Amino acid sequence: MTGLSAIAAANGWFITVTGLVIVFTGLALLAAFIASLDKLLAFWDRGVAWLQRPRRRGSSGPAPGALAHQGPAPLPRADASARTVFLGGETLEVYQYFQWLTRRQGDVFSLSRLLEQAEKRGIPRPHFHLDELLVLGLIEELPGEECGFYRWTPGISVQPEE
Amino acid sequence: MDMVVAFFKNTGFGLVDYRHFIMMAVGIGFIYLGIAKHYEPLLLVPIGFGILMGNVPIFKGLGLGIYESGSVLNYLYFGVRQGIYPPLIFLGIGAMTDFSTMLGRPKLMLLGAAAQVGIFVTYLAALALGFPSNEAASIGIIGGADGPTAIFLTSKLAPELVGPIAIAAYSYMALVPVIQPPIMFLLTTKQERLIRMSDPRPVGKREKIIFPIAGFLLCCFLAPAALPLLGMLFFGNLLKECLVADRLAQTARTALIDIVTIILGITVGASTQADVFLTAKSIGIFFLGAASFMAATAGGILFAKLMNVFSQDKINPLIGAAGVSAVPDSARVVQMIGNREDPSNYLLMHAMGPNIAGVIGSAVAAGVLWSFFMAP
Repeated sequence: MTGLSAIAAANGWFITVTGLVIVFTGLALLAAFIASLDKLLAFWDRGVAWLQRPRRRGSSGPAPGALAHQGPAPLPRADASARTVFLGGETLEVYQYFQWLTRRQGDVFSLSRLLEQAEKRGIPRPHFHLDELLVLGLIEELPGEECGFYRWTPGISVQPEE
Repeated sequence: MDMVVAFFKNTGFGLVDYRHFIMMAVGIGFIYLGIAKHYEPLLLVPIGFGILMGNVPIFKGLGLGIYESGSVLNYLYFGVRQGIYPPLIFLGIGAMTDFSTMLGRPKLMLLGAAAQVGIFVTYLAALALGFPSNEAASIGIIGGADGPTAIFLTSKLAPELVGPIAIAAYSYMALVPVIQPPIMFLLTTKQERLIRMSDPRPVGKREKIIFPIAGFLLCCFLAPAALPLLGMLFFGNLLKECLVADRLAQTARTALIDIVTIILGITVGASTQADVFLTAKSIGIFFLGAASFMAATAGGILFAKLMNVFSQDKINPLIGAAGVSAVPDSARVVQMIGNREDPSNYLLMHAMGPNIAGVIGSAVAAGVLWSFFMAP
């Protein structure tokens, strides 16, 4: 059997329409979910920040759930007198990844290795953010014989920008 | 003297006929395209050499041929017959793919869905030409421009056609730079090809981690038969994005996918034995496969034009052609054509979105087709 009758006999029209509808529905639902994902995450962050706000006073580190904000990163600002640095958006997220990556190297780490690992893991703009952290004094070079190696500057706390 | 004659009759020189030469020419052609023209060399070189291996005339019954039970090639071919290799390749693809361009502008995913129209149009055409339903579905999936998906579905629905369909799918994927441009020029105006697109929004790491989990659950709830392919694709991507399983991701995107590609390429090539491959049906499959690619390309472009009718944020319709998957070649072709019109217009980043969505779309389409034919 050939022609339109073969298509009809094999339920071809039904399979085609149903198949296309399922493919479109699947990808459209996924697209809708992705489109709203950043809003959902921002909503989640606000909720977590609200829950943790009273307990965060006096702590030296940032609240993990409240850290990563989406959207364009505002410029970070340093408050030298209080030794507290306020970070926001992508910079804050990258700061956390860098902390996690350097933990594998130990207290003293190499910047080139850190950058290599960051690039391998697809962390956005690692050179730019590393430079930011250096300028803000969050990372310092070791003196003397260990010159060329770096560590996280002790006594500086990082807070998420409001 | 009789022994010498008998020996000669059992050598390749005694057993060869013209069909073997035709297939060897095809194999050498594949190797040439891969090495000299750089058309998908990682696929065409193993497949081309596999064609040579499969078409050395051999004495049947010695347990050498790929279709002879107990032969080495037959054991390796088991992974093709049972659809084991394609999900492993998807694992590697997931571990090497960055979904951020797609996540940054999710509406472009619809182009990946629109391009799957080629699969279903070809399915109808194959039915109309008299192919049985299961074979028609396997031929249609060539339009998904995704070799592993085509092999996976064919191994489930029409295992005897794995050779011709895999060869057709990979041939046309290699020929994307030849097949797509005329259709792109035909269906778009110069003004449309000059459209510049705005940058996608930045995508956070958490979104990249959540996406493979949510994407897997959503797609597989909708088309459960796509689970082996999409499960591995999204799992590979989760390994890449979660940062804590870097060794696994590294293995999946390097050693594992390379090993599977070698075995898949060789066995698919070797499965094209002249007596099995050179049939009228294979020629029909090749023609329909080309039509499928063209229909898929046209579907993506026309849908992009349709989206422009309703959207304020115009998209360059050329990127619709990338919805056929064939990652990343079709996106490169979009960049090439766009660049020809305006050398400062960079479309590659935008084209990668529909390109990757096309991979998901073709896997969902394969799952849907398989569901229809495995239903009692």
